[in-house]
Amino acid sequence: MLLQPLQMKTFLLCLLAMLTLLLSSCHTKTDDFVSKHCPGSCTVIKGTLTTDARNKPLAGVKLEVQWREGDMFSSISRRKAITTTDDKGNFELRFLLRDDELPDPYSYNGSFTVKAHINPDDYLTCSGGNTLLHTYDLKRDTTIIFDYVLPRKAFIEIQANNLQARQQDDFLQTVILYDSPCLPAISWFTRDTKYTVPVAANQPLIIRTTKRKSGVETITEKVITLAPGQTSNYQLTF
Amino acid sequence: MKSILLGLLLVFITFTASAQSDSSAHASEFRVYFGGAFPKGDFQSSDFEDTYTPFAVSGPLMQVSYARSVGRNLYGGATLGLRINPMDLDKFADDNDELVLSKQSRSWQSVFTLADAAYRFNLTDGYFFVKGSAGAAFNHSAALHVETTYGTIDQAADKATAFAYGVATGMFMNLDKLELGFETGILSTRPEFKYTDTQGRSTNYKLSMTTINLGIFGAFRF
Repeated sequence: MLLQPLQMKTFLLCLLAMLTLLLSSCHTKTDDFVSKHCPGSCTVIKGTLTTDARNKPLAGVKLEVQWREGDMFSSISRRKAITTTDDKGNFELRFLLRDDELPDPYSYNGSFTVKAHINPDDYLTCSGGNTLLHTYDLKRDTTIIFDYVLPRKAFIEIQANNLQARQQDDFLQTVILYDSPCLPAISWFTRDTKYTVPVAANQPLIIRTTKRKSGVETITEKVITLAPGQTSNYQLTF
Repeated sequence: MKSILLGLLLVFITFTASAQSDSSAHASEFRVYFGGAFPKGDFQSSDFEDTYTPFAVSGPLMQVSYARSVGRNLYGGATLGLRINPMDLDKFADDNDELVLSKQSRSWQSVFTLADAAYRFNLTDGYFFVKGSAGAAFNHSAALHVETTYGTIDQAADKATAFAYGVATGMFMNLDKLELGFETGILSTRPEFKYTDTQGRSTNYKLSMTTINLGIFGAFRF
């Protein structure tokens, strides 16, 4: 019996819904309490969490270690340890690696992340979310010192003018420098002339613009400090 | 000290309740209750983020009560109860966990000493009642012992005394000097326990130990 177009459409929609349900059910999340109460051979990640150019400790921030292996269709995710920073921002995450979590040179064995229970709208991380550390290579009986600066977020709205005057060998780039493992950089190759860039608040920001025009390279710098949540406008002209 | 004060409070409340009744027409009764206590809220949590995850599951609740009429349909008395809630160790570590060699635990325990006030509504062959209780609970936290291939996880039990309260309702029927009925309600206490981690570092934490209870009772009136 042939299906009518409407029946066919309904059938395909049902099939798609079933497939989605089937695939979404392959994501497993577990809590590893044995690891949390690590009895021995522990892996330790410890350090200090600070903000405002490392001048102010971040107290009372919950941090957790998670191991994850998989792809968009199926995955295993395990919470391995959890702790809260003390008054001085100190933390210690102690956990036990299972055999399937150890690094294997012959296959992809998943990765570990250290996540902070923060509002990503308020704090600036390299991931843009709440991940502070992402690593593939952890071992048992190892201590890793991890001092992390978690700046509060401010914004710079950068406007580039006269971009239409660029010739083939010309170049324009803006980098914003501050105390962070990852720094925002804009290469003005696209047609966009305006970007809003999240940056660290309460610390000096160096806005460095490198311009090469008609074979002549010039570098200009401006230093500003922004308050948390503040948006500052910056204009440059090619 | 806290235990002594809470114990004395209970004794005073009981004496007060007894002293208010001077009529021999007012009945007294002893009641024996047995039922189940089902953990609610934080007590039943298996949350990874807890300082010490309780993993409490349902267990028995036994109570012995004395009640005496102190007014029209109003009763005062005292209850001594024992509540035992085991830990769900399978939530801590699966039976097939390759790291675990053996696991055992000792249950959460609370001994309640409560002063009660109850109001009874007449039914054709019995009564419907509502009851409020307040007093002290002498609590034992659960203990945990897990042997793994990398060492032992040992959590010793801790003791703590705290204020306790309960509310209950139920029905019973009169059989001459005997009563048979059922009761449902909640019992709650919030002790502060000490938790010592595998590194020997201690943290104090407060745990709301609340259960919803359901059970049957028999009483003897005299």
